[in-house]
Amino acid sequence: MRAAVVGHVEWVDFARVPRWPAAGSIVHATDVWSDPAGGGAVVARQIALLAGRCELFTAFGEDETGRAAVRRLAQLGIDVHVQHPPRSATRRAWTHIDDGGERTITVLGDKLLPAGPLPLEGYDLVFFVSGDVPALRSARRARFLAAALREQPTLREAGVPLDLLVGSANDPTERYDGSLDARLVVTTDGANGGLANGEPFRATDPPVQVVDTYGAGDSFGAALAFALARGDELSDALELAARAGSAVLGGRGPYTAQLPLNS
Amino acid sequence: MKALALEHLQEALLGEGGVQGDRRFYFVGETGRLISNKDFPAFQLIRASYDDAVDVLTLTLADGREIAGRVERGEEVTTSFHRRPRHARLVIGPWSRALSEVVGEPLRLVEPSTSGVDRGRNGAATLLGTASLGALGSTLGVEAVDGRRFRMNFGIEGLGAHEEDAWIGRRIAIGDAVVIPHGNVGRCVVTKQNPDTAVSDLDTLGGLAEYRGDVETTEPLPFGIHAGVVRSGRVRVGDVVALA
Repeated sequence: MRAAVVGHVEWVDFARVPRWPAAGSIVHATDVWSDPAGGGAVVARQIALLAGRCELFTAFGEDETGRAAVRRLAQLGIDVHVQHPPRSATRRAWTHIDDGGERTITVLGDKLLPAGPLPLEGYDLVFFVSGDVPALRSARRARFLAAALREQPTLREAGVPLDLLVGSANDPTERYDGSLDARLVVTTDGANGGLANGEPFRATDPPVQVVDTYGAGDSFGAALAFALARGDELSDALELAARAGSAVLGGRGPYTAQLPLNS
Repeated sequence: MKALALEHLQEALLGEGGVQGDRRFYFVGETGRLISNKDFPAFQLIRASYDDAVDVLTLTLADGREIAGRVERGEEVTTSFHRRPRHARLVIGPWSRALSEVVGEPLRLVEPSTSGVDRGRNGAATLLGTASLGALGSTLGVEAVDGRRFRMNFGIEGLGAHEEDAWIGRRIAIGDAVVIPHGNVGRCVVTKQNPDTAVSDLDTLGGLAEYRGDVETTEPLPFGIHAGVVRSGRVRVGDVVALA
């Protein structure tokens, strides 16, 4: 399968803490690490694991952080197409992971969006996480186009039909009013599963110990898009997606426990 | 990468197969023939870098876009490298498609099983005295000739114009390595191209024909020499080059 993702990436410093610090307090991290993450990276890595390879069209500043991100993403098996918007700096983020595995994110700087048109002719699957309107219109050339609910203004402005629209039912920024031309709309609700075109589906049991929730939703969406693009029935696709979302919970950061194809 | 923008190193390991990492990859067309900046001058506006430690290749296009990924080796193919067969493996990844879009023709990226130097082991390294650039510039009536046009491995300061030609057949120490030059490097139209614009803007071949046309040489229109490596070693910018 020829697959690509259009989306943003940020360089994330992760810190595991006993609890989210209350106002005025200090917490000591028990583990710290860094990785390029954000929706574009997490979705692309999950699709790369399932499809063998995945291209990511993204944007970075021309800085050391951006170069480190490209190197690491390539190491993760993602083929990266990088634009450098003028006078921009690579976006960074801090993410605290508390004892329950919940992540709390602070972003620093503007989201750098890949700009279109993009050379997306001939792809079996494109997953649009973020980007400008011409980038999304290019993405529609793919046989199967999935999009994240978090970029609804862009989706609305582009006005292209979507094969899959996926997002979280619990994130206020992803609340959906039904106004887009989408063949399938899937919203997730954590351990409760979610809705697919209004029909409930079940979540997979989480791992015994939830280590880290970062990337679970994006991995769910990526696996769902992959499965539907290869022709799986909806029920099978949702089952794979639920397993992908659950798998991520068992690992440190978004990449250590993502679901491989042969699992 | 063969034919793409030159990379200037402060230090290199020179071995029997040439400078380590030099021309590790090249592009071929649909028939397997080597594609170079003779076919597409804009190739030399594209930069390549390869990180051996993690097997990651990055191409930077003239408009600043980068294409990076981990190299995956595919099937073995026989390519035509300067009309000689050369075994290589197809490189799977985003680069072939991206460059095909740039030039408007289908290209495939390959990694040869042996060194990608042009003249085999006797041409593992190329050397040029920088004074020779001055001689050509005088002939052409220009202030300076950019040495990058000639895409040599090593530039040598302190020689007279074309003094390096007299080294053919002798042992030359260059840094920790020792080479024996085997012949002259004959020139082609690529040297007319400005390395910053890829536009042909200097009649280098006319100039060479004018003042070097009668020189006894192993290849026509000679400029610089090629050499085999008899002792591998590290070479750094500023190292002494002398008869060994």
